[in-house]
Amino acid sequence: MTNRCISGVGPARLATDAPVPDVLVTARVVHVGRTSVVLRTADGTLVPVTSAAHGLVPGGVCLAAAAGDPGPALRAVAGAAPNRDLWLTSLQGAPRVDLVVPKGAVDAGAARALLTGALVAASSGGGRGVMDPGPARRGARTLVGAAAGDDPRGVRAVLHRLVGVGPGSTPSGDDAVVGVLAGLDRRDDAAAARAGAAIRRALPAVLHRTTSLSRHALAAALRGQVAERVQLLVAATADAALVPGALASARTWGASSGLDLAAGVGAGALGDAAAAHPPARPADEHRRTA
Amino acid sequence: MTTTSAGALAARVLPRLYRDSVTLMALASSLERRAGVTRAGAVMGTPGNLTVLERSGMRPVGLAPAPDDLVLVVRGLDEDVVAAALDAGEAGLVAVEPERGGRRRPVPQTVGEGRAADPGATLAVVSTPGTYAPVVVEQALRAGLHVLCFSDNVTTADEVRLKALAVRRRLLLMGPDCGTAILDGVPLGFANAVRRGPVGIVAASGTGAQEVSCLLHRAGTGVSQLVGVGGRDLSAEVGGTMTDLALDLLSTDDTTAVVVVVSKPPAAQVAQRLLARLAGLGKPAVACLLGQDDTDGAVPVRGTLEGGARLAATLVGAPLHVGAVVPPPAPAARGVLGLYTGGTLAAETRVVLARAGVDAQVLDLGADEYTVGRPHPMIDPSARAERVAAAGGRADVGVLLVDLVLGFGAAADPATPLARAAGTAVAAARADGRDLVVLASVCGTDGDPQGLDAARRTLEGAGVLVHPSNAAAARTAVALVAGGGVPA
Repeated sequence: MTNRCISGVGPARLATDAPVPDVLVTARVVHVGRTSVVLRTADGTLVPVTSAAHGLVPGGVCLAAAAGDPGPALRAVAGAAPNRDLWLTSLQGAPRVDLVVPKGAVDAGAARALLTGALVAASSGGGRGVMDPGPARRGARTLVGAAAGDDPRGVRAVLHRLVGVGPGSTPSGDDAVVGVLAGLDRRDDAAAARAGAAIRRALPAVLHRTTSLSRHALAAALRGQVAERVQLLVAATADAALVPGALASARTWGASSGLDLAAGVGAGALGDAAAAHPPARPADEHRRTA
Repeated sequence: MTTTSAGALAARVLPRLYRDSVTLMALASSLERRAGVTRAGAVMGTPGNLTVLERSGMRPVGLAPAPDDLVLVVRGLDEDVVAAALDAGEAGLVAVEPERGGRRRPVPQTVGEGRAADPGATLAVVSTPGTYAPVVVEQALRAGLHVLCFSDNVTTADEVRLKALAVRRRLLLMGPDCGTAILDGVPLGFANAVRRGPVGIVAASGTGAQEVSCLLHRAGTGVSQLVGVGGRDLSAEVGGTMTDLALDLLSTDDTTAVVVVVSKPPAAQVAQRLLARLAGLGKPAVACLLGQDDTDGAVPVRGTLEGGARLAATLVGAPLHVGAVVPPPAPAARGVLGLYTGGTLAAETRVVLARAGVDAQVLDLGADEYTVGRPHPMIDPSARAERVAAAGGRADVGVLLVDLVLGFGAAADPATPLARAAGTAVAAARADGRDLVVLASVCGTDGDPQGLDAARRTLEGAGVLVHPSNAAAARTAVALVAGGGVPA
């Protein structure tokens, strides 16, 4: 067993409301991904470690570095493999970041463009059957429709179909739900608040149906927190000019997570109009890329 | 294992194993390409995913994983096919012994552990995500290993720093973003089964090096060493650091009689220095710099891959003869569309077309913008095949140019999906009252695992006009459409 000591990390950043201790000891590496390394502490808490290039994740540690450079510390963490232990220290005094989704303006055209972009991508990307993220992305619209329609049974049914469903260690359906909550939280109207509350009432009962990594993200979303990169998607709902860049960035988050989140954010920000959103047509994708 | 008239179905549960979603997508795709496999999935064992598997007839009886368990599931022709696919999938996923089970032998996880396991190793291949690659490369160099760095997305600053370290230690750092090398006859990455011979190649271009080495093989000669240096090595920032070291090594390599440097056009000051360096190498040299004018100075320059290969072959006494292909009747539509898996092959096509004044749309489908979240089209031909098939619906396109890259690391059978797609495209055009001519070349040798002749026959069976080189295919396109229109 190889132990690694990550010291002198600072300045690292911590989430405002996340119970990350200042000193982590014998954290186990449980996942080494493209954009994060996930640790599990002795008490079972998951701590996603990211770099400045990818932004802070709720309950996580973000290692500050020059733009585009994940920093030597994250590289050292990544040098560890799953099921290896390491020590993470020297986080005392790190600045903290508020990851609660701020209220703000939503432009219906921008939200629709975000949703359409994610759905069109689903029409040509991904795999087949359970490897296809498309149903989960389309499910984001259905969830918003049920929540906006004051249909608690419908919300429970949709969540049952979404949570823990789809490809990836954070299954696509979970990312879509996180995105929906973020999109709804962005809006400052009573309808959005009611829809968000309806989802929040039903979601805890189905958290056991998904992975630990997803439960971590969904629990944060229940508290109103999402990762910094999701905040970029949320910000794009205010201005259609921001949408292409946000979608391009989202395409780089795992095989499907970024676009799953984008579909959710777009649907949530669009509100009940999302339920009537036309399905994506493959022809649109051909025009985009030809 | 469940066996019915529909074949065999089985799953394997890997407890508490997380893998990046890109890895899982690529794994499922590669399993589905195995002979006899009809469907494959790699998902977390959540209740929701089990329901989807159940509904799609992909849940074996008794499968009951936990949500944090990774599940591989495969349907295939028979039990042997399915078991072999699951073994291959698991081998590709499991890097360390799982917390439960203990059936597998741990494999090295670090450079240090790898050295301890094999003290005689002289080279490390690094293919971690690019953001993590520099630290691994540095560890390998400091451990005295040559490095082939397959990873991309490494910063230029890291590349400069690490190459300086490598040069100080007289070690090769091939890459980052280096996909092809052949050292002492051992192919690394995407390389072809080429004959050993007197030509040494230094390449800042992966498929460019493959095309040149395959053409040399076809001429009856071969390759002493093929050193990839990464696409940025001849940029102004990197300054040709690794090209210099590779040339040093080839200049004293007794098996190398002629040297070819393959690259897209380098920065002007770097090109000047490169030509001076080659002139003083002490061995005949060819600068194959895509897009440059052909010149015959102290160091001859060739602007196409075929031109570089032809001259190198002549210099070692094995002239390369690239036969002409009689073009078919010209189609009514004069637009040319190129759909390539090899970036340098696409670039060479643009050079040939541009020299003839033919404008065209030539896409490198291996570029980052087309491969986000999915494997490179040389590994997974399906995305390119979809585009080829769709090209039949474009009324402005009369000529479709494609490449087919064989060799180690490439798809097991890239010809079949391309041939089917080409057939679909041609049929769609005919149904619309149009002619579509599909022109191709196969970058490969008779020793490649996919079989050069078989690949050519597969394409020709679908009506594709197969050429002896990529440049030859582009020349046929010129003959068909010179003076014609331009696709939108």
